[in-house]
Amino acid sequence: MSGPSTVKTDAESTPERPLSLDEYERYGRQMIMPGWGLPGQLRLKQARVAVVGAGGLGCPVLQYLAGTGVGTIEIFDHDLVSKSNLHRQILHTTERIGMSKAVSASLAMQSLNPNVRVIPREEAIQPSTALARLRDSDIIIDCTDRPMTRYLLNDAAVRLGKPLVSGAAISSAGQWAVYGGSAKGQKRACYRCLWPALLPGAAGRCEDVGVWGVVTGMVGTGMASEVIKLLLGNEDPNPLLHIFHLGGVPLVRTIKMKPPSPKCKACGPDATITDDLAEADYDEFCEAVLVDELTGEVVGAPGERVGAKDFASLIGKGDVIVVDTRPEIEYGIASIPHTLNIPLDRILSNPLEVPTRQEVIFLCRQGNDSQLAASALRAALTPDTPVSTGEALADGAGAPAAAVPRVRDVRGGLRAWARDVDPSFPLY
Amino acid sequence: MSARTEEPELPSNGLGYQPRIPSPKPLGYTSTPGPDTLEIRLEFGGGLHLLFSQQPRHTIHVPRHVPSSSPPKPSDMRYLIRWLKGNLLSEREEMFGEGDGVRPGILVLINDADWELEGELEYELRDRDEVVFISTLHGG
Ligand SMILES: [Zn+2]
Repeated sequence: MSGPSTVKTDAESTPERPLSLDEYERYGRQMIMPGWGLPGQLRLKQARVAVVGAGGLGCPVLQYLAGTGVGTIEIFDHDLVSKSNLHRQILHTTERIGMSKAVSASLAMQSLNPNVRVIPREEAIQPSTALARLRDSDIIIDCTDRPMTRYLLNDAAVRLGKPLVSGAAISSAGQWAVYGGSAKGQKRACYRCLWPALLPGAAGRCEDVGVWGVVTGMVGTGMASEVIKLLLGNEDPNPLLHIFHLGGVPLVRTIKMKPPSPKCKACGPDATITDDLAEADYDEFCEAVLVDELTGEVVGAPGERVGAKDFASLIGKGDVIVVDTRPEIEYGIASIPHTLNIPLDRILSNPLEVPTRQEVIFLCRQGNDSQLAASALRAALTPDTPVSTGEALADGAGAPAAAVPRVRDVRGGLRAWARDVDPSFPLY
Repeated sequence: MSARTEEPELPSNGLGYQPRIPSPKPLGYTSTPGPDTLEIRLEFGGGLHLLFSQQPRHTIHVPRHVPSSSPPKPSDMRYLIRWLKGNLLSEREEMFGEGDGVRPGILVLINDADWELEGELEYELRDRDEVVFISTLHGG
């Protein structure tokens, strides 16, 4: 607005003036920094990145990449926006609940910065599609929440020779790093080099364990800065891993990463993973419980589970004890009367602590933990244990059912309870 | 700046675990600083603190030399891991250790560097070393 009226004011760029006037003004505060300048801004504009996941990590990543002017941003997410996402997935809105996350995020990004090209893809990356979908991107950005996808994205990045910016956050902790590709001619370790195996029980998910919105925000912001540094050609010469812990001193611990592992299945000299990712084995990274495709509920052996409606008729009966396996803090948020709270970790470390009657029914939020509790108690009560064996044998053929308590759990947990029995039960 | 011993006043203490009431005494070891011991600061992240009395941070004192070694062998990471299993681990050992080392999937840092850069099990401990054990996270 301060220039003479003869100056072109439209959005067209020319070789002498490669950005539009809108862009000069919009990006001015970052372009004037040393190491950025017009060449840096043009590198961002020419770049194309793939962001997989538009959730807790994806939202801050996408927001800053759009704001900073990354030319083409492709978003992969097959999920829909739900109300319980909104405390942390800050590009989505209450009005857009039920909309595709990829589309919702792209709307927010376009309104933040119409100069960038956003391509929403309402699909998940699969072993059979990964290479084709990610081939055109300069950087692959892993904002997913499942171990299987994390390893798949790493393997795809290794095969394509592209850097992977990968982050994770849960509860009050997070970590992020640049994996693969090379820094100043030195090959970086890939995700598998650093994390060759999954620790059993370490695959916690935000919906089960909980997460601070600010924690995904800080990790996502850290990831976005790694992407920008890579695009500007200003990446850390020695690869670093950042570990963040709310309440930690220091808040972020940054460590030197080791070089690539010669034993790595993805990037080592004897790598077994090839371009045929559909042939790679990702089963070891899948959750151990079997989930029904239609209901999303855990499948169990016949007779081991009870539906919410049948369960309602059993509560409060003298010979039935109902144990809610949620953590104390969740039990305090909402609970069903006549239930006893014993958190899962206590049950698992000592199943026989559960007071038994003729029938024990376990209950949890979604029907997963309750199943673990039930199988732990069943195992502890097997006819081998001295107490129950003695009685069962002494009483003869008809008696074992009475001597060994029947152990079941509620299919679908409190979600099913709220859906089928008591709609006023607060879901959280 | 406050010291690292200070815990924030948050209901969940900000660390992703519930404080046990009262804060439990670490199991089975006496923390006796002296000329023959090394002070080692430990931190467990990514959920591993659950295996160590639910405490993410510990300060321990281990013998400067491996007990009854002759000639006296300086304490190393191999000894520290054995010591942790015997003195500090409060839960299932198989979740932490494998052979002399730790399970794959646990990253070990010595003074903020991957222990593979420092000699892994052979690294000789020094007074006030900081050793961090973390497992990978998957949420997002
Ligand atoms: Zn590798």
